[in-house]
Amino acid sequence: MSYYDEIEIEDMTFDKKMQLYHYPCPCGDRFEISLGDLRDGEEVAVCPSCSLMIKVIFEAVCVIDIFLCAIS
Amino acid sequence: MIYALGSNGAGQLATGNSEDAHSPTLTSFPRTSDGIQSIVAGGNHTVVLCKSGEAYATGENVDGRCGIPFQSCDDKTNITTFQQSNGIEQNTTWKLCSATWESTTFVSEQNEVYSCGTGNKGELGLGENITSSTTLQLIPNFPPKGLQVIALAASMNHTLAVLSNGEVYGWGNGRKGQLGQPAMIHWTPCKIANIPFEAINAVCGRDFSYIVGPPETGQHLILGADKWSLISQAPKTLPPWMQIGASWGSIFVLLKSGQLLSWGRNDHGQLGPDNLAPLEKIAVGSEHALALTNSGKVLAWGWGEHGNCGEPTESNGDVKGRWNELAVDKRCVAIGAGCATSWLVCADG
Repeated sequence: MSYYDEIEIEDMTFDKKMQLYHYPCPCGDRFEISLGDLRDGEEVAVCPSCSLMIKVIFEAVCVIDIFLCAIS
Repeated sequence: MIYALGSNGAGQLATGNSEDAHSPTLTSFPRTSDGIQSIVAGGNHTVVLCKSGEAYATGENVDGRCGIPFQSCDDKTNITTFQQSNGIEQNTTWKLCSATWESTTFVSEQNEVYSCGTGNKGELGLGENITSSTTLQLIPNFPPKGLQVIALAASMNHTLAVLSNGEVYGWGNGRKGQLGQPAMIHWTPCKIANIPFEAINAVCGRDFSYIVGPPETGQHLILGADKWSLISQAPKTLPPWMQIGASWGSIFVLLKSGQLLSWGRNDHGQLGPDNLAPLEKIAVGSEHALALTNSGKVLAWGWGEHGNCGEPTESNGDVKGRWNELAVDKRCVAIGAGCATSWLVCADG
């Protein structure tokens, strides 16, 4: 699989209401990955408007922080 | 008149709907096209600045990023035809304009800098943790007294202002070093230190800044990460040039000879293909580019999945190692490019 890019999770934006991380896609829409998918080990965020996708870079220890942050 | 093609999910093409356009489509631009100064684009909005100082915007306006009050929106959040960004007062005239992903920045003739929209990483330049402004707000205490803003540039999350004394100020996301060191978010305009020449222009990529001195000096500087060998592949000095541009991951320099110099990301064919005819102008979008040749043809190449590089494309949407000609039955005088959007300014009549 070829990714458009690899993006560190720190560079993504967390949407508390939607419980997902997103990052701009060059088509104008955005790459999205839900917290649940991240928890299940998914690392690919997809854009609903085009074929591009990114690989989300994060360390397992960060994910714990992310969950704490998300529920707080 | 202005024609547009490409991605249009929020009405950013001003064609009256939100359908992608795969060939040049007439937009609703209400003025004559001989007075257009620049076309800038965020993720889902487009702003056309006229030499007369008026600005017209279209696209997503959920947060006022178009500089237009909400009630003007066709469906409350999006505008699908060009409408005037009135500014602070009815008679505000703008001289420069730039757009980040979700915000717009305007500079008035009096060198006041205003921003509107959303900026989660300091893009508004209005102060610590100010992430939203539904109306145009003045960025206070900028530029320093007695100085003018001579160039303004932005990409996804950061903005640069080149001042009349050759200094460059930046704000927004600087986490990759695109605003100099230390690499951090700047919530207000901050002078970029240690530029070894007097800058006269700049452009922004997604995670980098490209700053140039006068064309005859060849001076240039790239700030940010060396992703896609943007820094390590760069020529030491530039041949005489007439225009600079940047996609999210590549740098473009149109030389006085009409040749195009480009380096950086090329996996979708973003860089200038070989054997281009001599060029008069370039316009660079997120992952594609346009060129206006000396003979008046408009060429497009790069990532064209939304039809923004015309037809045909490879199965993944790329126009790679070659170009498509974007044909209209009018004479094209200027071009623009945004996030998978392409713009052709054509002579009226």
